[in-house]
Amino acid sequence: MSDEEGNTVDDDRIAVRTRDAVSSVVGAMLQWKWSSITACALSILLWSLSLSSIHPYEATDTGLVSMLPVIWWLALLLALVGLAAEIQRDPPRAAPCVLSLVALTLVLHGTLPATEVTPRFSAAYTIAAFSDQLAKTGSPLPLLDARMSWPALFSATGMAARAMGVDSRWFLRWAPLVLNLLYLLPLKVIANATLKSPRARWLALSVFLLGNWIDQDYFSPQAVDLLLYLAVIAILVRVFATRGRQPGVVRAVVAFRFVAAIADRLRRILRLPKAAQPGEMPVPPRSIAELAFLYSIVLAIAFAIVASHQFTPLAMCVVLFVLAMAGRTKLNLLWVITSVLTVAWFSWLARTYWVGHLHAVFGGIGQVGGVVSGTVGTRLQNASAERLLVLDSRLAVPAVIVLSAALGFWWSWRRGRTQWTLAILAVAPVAVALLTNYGGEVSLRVILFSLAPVSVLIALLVDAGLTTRTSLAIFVVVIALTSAMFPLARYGNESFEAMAPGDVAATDWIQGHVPTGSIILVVIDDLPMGESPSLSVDVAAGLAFAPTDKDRRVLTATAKTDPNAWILLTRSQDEYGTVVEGFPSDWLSTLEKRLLATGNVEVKYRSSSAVVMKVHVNTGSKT
Amino acid sequence: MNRQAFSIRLVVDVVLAVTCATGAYLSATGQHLPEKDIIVLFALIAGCGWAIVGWTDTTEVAFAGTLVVAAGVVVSMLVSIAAVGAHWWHPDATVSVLLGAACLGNSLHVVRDKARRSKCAR
Repeated sequence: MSDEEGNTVDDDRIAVRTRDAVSSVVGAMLQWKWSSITACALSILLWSLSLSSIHPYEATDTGLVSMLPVIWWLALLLALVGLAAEIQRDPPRAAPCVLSLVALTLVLHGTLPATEVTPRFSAAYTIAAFSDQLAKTGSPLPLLDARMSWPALFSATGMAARAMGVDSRWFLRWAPLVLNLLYLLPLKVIANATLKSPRARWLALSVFLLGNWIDQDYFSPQAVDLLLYLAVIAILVRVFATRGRQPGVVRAVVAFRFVAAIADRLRRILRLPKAAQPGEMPVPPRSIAELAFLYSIVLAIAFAIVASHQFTPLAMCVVLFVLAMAGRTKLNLLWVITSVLTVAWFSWLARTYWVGHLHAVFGGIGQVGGVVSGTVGTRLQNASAERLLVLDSRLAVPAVIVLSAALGFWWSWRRGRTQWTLAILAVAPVAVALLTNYGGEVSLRVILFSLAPVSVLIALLVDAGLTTRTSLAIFVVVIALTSAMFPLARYGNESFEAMAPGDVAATDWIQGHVPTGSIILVVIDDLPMGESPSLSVDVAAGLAFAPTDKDRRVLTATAKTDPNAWILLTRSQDEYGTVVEGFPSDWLSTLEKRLLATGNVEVKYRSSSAVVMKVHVNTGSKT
Repeated sequence: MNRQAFSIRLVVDVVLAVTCATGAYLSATGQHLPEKDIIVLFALIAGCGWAIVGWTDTTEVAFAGTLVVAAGVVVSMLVSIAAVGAHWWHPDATVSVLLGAACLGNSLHVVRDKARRSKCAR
C-alpha cells in the first residue's frame, strides 16, 4: 500500500469517525428531553437581544432585511430546531410543541410590534378612528366611509375600549402577534380533523406561520373575521363533516359520461389510483343537544362576520356552497342561510354603500386580468432593484406554498388518501376574486383565506403512511425556502408602513389643535390618521412636482375656497413616494422648501419626522 | 371525562368567574388600575366565551380554545351592534352587565363541574 493510499484510508476512517461522533452527539441532543425547550428558550433570548439592532424607522428599500442581525436569524433557526427536536419524538409532547410555535410566532410576527414604538400601517389607524368615533357617539357614519356600513367590529372595539379606559389605538400594536397565535387554534383543529399523525399536525401550524407574510393581520375587520371564518371551518370539519355524500343533482352531473371521461383521463394523466379513500379523520359522535348548540354558535359567528366585513361573508358563502355540493358537510343549508344574511345586510343596512355605486360594486365581475394587473402590474412600476426583490419574494412565497400544497394533495391521493375538504377550502376562495370588484388587494385576501388549508395540505407530505425520504426532503426545502423569504416578503414594506412617533405626534397635534371642518392636504394618503366628522383628508398629489408658480396658484385657490386648509407632510409619505412611486429621495424636503417659498403656508407644528402647515392667502407680492 | 379533566375545568371556571367579576366591577365603577385594560379584555373574550362554551363537554384543547375565542368575540360584536341599533350607547354599563352575566354563567359552571367531579370520584 502506497503512502498516498494509506493517507486516503486514514482520511476515510477519520471522516467516518467524525461523522459517527457528530451524529451520535446530535442524536443524544435530540433525545435529551429538554432539547426542544432549551432551543426555544435560547431562540426567545436571542430574538429579544436582536431587537436592539432593528430600527424600522431607518428601513431601506428592502425593508428590515438589511438590518436583521445574525442572532435574529439564529433565533428563527432555533425555533425551528426546537420544533424539529420535539416532533421527532413519538408522540411529540404538546407543551414543547406549543412553546416552539410561540417562539416561532414571536420571531416572525412579534419583531415588528416589538421594535416599533407606535403602531404600524396607516389602514390600522383608520380602523381605530372608526372605532373611536363609535366609542364616543355610538353612531356609525356610513356616509363618511363605506366601511362603516359593516360596523360590528368597530362597535365592539369602541365598546371594549371605553370599558377598558383606553383609546382604540391600544388594540393596534400587538394585534398581528396575538392574531397569529389565535389563528393557530382553529388551524390545529382543522389539522387534527384531516391529518393522521400528531407530527404532521404540529408542522402544519409552522407552515402557516412561515407562509403568512400577507400583512393582513393588522387590527382590522378582515383579520378578526379570518379568525371567525377559520372557527366556522374548524367546527364544520370537526363536528359536521361527512365523507362525500353529495346532493342528487351533483351526483347526476358527476355521473354524466362526458364529465366522468374527463375526470378519468385527468386521473390517468396524474397517475392517481381510482380506489382512493377519504383521508379525513372520523367525526366523534355527539349528542343532538350538543350538535344543536354548536350549530347555533356557527350561525352566530356567521352573523357576526356578515355584520363586520364586506368580503369575508362572500368567501364564506362560496366555501360553504362548494362544501355542501361536494357532500363534505352535514350543514347543507348553511350556505343558503349565510347568503340570505349577506344579501339582507347588503341590501338593507349597507344601502348607503351601494346606492349610486352599483357599477363600482359589480363592475369588476369576471375581470381577472384587472385583478392580476392591479395586484402585480401597478406595483412593479417605478420600482428600484431592491424593491423588485421584495415584490418578487411576495410572488415567490405564495408560488412555493401553492405548488407544494398541490404536490401534497397529489402525494396523498397517489398513496390512496384523498383530501377533498382541504382542496375545496384552499381553492374555493379564488372564485370570490372573479365575483367582486375589490381591486388588486383581493389576491392577498384570497391567499389569506387559502393559507390555512394550504398549510395542512403541505403537511400531508410528512403525514403518517405518506412520508418517504423524497417527501421529507421536499417538506424541508419548503420550510427552508419560506423561512429564507419570509423576512423579505413580510418586512419588505416596512420603510413606509412603519408609522414613526413623529408622524403620530403630528396627527395627534392636528386632532387637538386644528379647527373642526378643516381640510388636511397630503400628497400621499399614507399616514397614521383616519377621516373623522370634524376633519377630512384630501390627497393633493399634484403638489409633489408642480412648478412653484403653480404651487402658489393651487395654494391661493385652496386658501380662498377653504380658509381652513392645512398641509401635513410625514416621513411615511416621504418613504412611500421614494420606494413605491419612484420619487427622488429628497422630494418631500424639496416640496416643503417650495411650499414655504410661496409665502402661502406657515409652519404650525414640527415633530422629528413630520410638519403641519397652515395654508393662507398671501397678500404680499412675492414672486 | 375523568376526575383530572373536571379538576382542570374547575380551575378554569373559577379563574374566569373571578376575572369576569373583577372586570364588571372595574368597568362599572370606572376605576383606573394599570391592569384594567387586560383584565376587562380577557374577561370579555375568554370569560364570555367560556360562559357559553363551558356547557359543552369538549375535551380537545384546540377545539375548546377556538370555540371560546370565537364565542367571546362574537358576543362582544353582537351586543355592541345591538346597542348601536337600539341607540342605547352606554359602553361601561353594557360591558358591566355582560361581564356580570358571564360571571354568573361561569359560577354555574363551577357548581356543575364540582358536582360532576364528585360524581366521577364516587
